[in-house]
Amino acid sequence: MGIVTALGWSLDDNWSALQNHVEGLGKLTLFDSPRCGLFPVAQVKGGATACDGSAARSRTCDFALHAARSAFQNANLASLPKPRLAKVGIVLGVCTGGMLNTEHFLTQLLKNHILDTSPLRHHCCSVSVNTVADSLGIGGPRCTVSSACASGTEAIAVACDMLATEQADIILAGGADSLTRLTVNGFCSLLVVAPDGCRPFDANRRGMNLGEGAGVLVLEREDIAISRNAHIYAHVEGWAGASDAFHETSPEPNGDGIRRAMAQALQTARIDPCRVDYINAHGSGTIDNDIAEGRAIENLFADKMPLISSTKRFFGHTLAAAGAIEAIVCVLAIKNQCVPANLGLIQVDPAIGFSPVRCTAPAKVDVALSNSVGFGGNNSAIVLARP
Amino acid sequence: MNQENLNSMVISDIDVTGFGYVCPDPCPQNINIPSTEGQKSCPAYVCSKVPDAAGIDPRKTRRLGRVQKMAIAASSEALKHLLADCRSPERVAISVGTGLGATGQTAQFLENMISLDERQPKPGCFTNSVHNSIASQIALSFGLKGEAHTFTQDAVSFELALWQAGSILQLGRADHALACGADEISPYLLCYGAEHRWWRADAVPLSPMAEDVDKQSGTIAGEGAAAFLLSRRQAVPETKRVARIVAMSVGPLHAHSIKNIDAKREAGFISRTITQTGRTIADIEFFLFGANGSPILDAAYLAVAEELSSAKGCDIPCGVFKQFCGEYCTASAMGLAFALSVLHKGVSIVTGKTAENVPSDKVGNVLLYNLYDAGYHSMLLVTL
Repeated sequence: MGIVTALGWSLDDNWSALQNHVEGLGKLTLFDSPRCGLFPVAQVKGGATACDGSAARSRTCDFALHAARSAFQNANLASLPKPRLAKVGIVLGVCTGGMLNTEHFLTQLLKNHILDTSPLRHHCCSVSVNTVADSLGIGGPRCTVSSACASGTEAIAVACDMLATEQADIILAGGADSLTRLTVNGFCSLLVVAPDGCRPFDANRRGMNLGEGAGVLVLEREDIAISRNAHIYAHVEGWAGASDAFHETSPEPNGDGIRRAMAQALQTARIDPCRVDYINAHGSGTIDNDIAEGRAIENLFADKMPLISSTKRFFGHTLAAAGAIEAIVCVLAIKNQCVPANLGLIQVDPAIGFSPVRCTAPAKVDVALSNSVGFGGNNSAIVLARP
Repeated sequence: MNQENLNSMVISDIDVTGFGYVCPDPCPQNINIPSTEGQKSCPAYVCSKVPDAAGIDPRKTRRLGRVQKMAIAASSEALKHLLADCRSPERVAISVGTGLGATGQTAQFLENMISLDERQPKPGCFTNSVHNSIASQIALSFGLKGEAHTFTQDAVSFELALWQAGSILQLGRADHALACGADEISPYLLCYGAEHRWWRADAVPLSPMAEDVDKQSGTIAGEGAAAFLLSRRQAVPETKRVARIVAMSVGPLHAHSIKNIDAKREAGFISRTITQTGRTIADIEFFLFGANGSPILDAAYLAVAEELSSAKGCDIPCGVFKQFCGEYCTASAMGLAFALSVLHKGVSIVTGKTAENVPSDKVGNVLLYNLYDAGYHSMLLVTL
């Protein structure tokens, strides 16, 4: 696994911050904007490209490359011979991609009447996948998934499908996205940004906060992993998706789509809901999302409620990276037998039928479930289990 | 799997039970593009009026971007028989491929944001700017509640969407899966392409693989949407099948540049995939090529066609389709729509250099072959 978030550039940095309740939210300094200072964001510190039009890579691509290289090393894939690298693929969720560079191009054109199209070479979401694949020398399938905030989880699901149908032996799966003016202004226009930091499932929550980063997991068929003596952190036991078909942005109020995604993922995994120890909720902190997801969890788990937390206040909402980063959190929870806190929670919303975890604490975690909810009612869930 | 096809993604034996497409106007028109040297324009195949989707109140789609409208209209046609009697909408999945997504709505949002110094961002444009707004609007328009995926991987975005749709059925997670490929023209894309000399200057229809290929100066950008309803064999009676995708293979090219392509190796890629279906090149009744009028790309297609002819022992019957839609990231979806149309209406609906070799009657199978500058190739074999 490899990760970069506002909490740091390594698994250790991130896990340590989760244990110590260090939140990633802070002031937006990446670019000048009248929005700076009005609300916090989880901006990655140091190391990555800013938004200069002449940059060799986009900021998103920098994040993807770092997380993928870390995962590649962590899984000891660098020692694979070239013919085996031909069967290593990559599936990443990306939404903003090179949008910062595109914004630079358009600002130069509209404000300064300078036509320089070179920043547009970073625009496509697929650039990150191609750059990572070329950089690591992997020759298997390349695939970019762009399903809004569910992209990271969907990328893992698509990678699992590729493994199940033997399109590849090993796949680097995850997601990456950077902060951009488009997303900062876009979410502001929807009036869903929390000025005081997100408080998922809190009675007085006021919205979400954006973040940025990347998470990449190395997925492989078990026989392949065993044959090369790979360390197996967890099994991906099941995955599923479901559409709300309800509204462009608002989730279906009863969370039916979220419930169906969770139920089908558990069904695929052949795991009864009562065996789930921990749910990493999407928990964006918006009023509508948390209610819908809360009802979905309540309807599915009823009186056998597992431990639940949203880690959005640690990482911010990292859009396409969120599902991948949260899957890594689940794997670390299984590895360390410890559940991260639902940071920012003061008073639980009485409309939500469970009480999220308030403090990071040791717990038995054999089975974890991670939810992602995207614009347009794009719901997905994955089930991870102790090997 | 053969070593040469090692890194290709493959699906086989999938039933198509409906399809629809929205093609641009037949003649390219000049579009103004950003320039610092006065007014500049560039020809493009544009869908000037997106047809209303049957059964969808136009008021519900009026605020959508053109790419969503095109995708909904194409999907409406593909889904028409299913929607008449769909009892399990949660068993209908959606898988969309789009190379650039909703460029129009994204541009509107950014232009407004930059011009007004971020004072009044438009929420509607923002929600429509995400790539998966195409899939979610299809779900919303037709009440489909299965899983929904959006792929954006250069020129093979549609092939990946098609692969995923087929896989969902093969893995039993849905009874039907709608695979759609959609992209729209953007003046900024035209501008970028013009700087890289991708486009020809004159607004006359393309004639890919024409005799005077050396004299051509480039391709013309296009747009469109095509959608295909794939169904599990157990979910529909055979009489509902409009075609069968016998095989699809998509993967990276052995060469980094089309200029360096090894035509013999490409013909080998095609013939091996055909062989895996129990057929030979001689069994293929019609080849449909994704040639686009670009001299280098057309020359590569001609070289591959020559190799295939050599393997068959006579000229292969072939045609092209990008004279109808221009070049865009998911044009292969339009190619598949034309391949299915050839199966149902005969080969006369497509034209090309080798049209004289085409049998005049209907054919029972068509092979669609695409080569991409970005370093991929794909092939689809379809039968009735």
